[in-house]
Amino acid sequence: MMLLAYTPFVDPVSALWPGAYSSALFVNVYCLIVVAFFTSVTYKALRFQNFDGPIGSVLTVFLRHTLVMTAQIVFGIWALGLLVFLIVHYIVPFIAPMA
Amino acid sequence: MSTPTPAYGHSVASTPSAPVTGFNPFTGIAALVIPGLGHVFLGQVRRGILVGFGVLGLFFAGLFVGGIDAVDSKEDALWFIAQAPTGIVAFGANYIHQNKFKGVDPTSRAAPRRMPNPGESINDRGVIVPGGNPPAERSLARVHEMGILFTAVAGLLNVLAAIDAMFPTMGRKS
Repeated sequence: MMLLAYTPFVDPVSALWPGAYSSALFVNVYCLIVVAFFTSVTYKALRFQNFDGPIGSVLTVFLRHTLVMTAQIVFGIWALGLLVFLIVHYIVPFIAPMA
Repeated sequence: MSTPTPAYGHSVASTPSAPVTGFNPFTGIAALVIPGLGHVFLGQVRRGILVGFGVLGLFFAGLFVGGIDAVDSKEDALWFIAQAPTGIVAFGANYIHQNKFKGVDPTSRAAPRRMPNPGESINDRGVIVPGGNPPAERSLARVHEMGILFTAVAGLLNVLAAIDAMFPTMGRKS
């Protein structure tokens, strides 16, 4: 039962890097990549047309599509975060400077 | 020179074992019970395995981040609505959480069953008593949020997979 209480994606990280999940990196890098990868696997599994043929070549093509989509999600989210950062720190103070 | 096979195109199964018609509620229900099972029943075994890998991988990633506390039909009931379409694993995780990790709090009427706090444990009769160690610590803050989010997204992805299995002749571009 204690094994079910173990959180292998968190406990080793927090042992190696105390306070890791208080860091923005925990969500912005670690969790984002995991959720983007599994979302891409599911989406591409539903959209991928041709699963016929040798399993190795099919999985190679499938994995390439999945990794491309994962990268698109991760870099897209980072780009949105950068855009919001620029708006909040530079554009809004330029438009409405604080007294 | 052979024509390359497009990665996307009209479906799907090379050897369908179930009739691929416009609407197949049985495969939709099967997909909601075990992720990927609906596509397996349609004869699309590889697709079903990959859908199951994606949905279950995300669900267990949520459990690995947030712990068993991420699935709780009592305290996070609205989130459980999103988690429930993951099927048997969501209900199984919730059952284990409610019955193995929570105990009866004899001092409270408002929340009679809860996870023990640090410094408390659950005795043989399922009552929370002072002393000892709890079977699991509650996940808190960002870790808890991420665990719930992962498992909820897994459930919602499986809704899409179930719809795809339910309407097997729709959805993929030709």
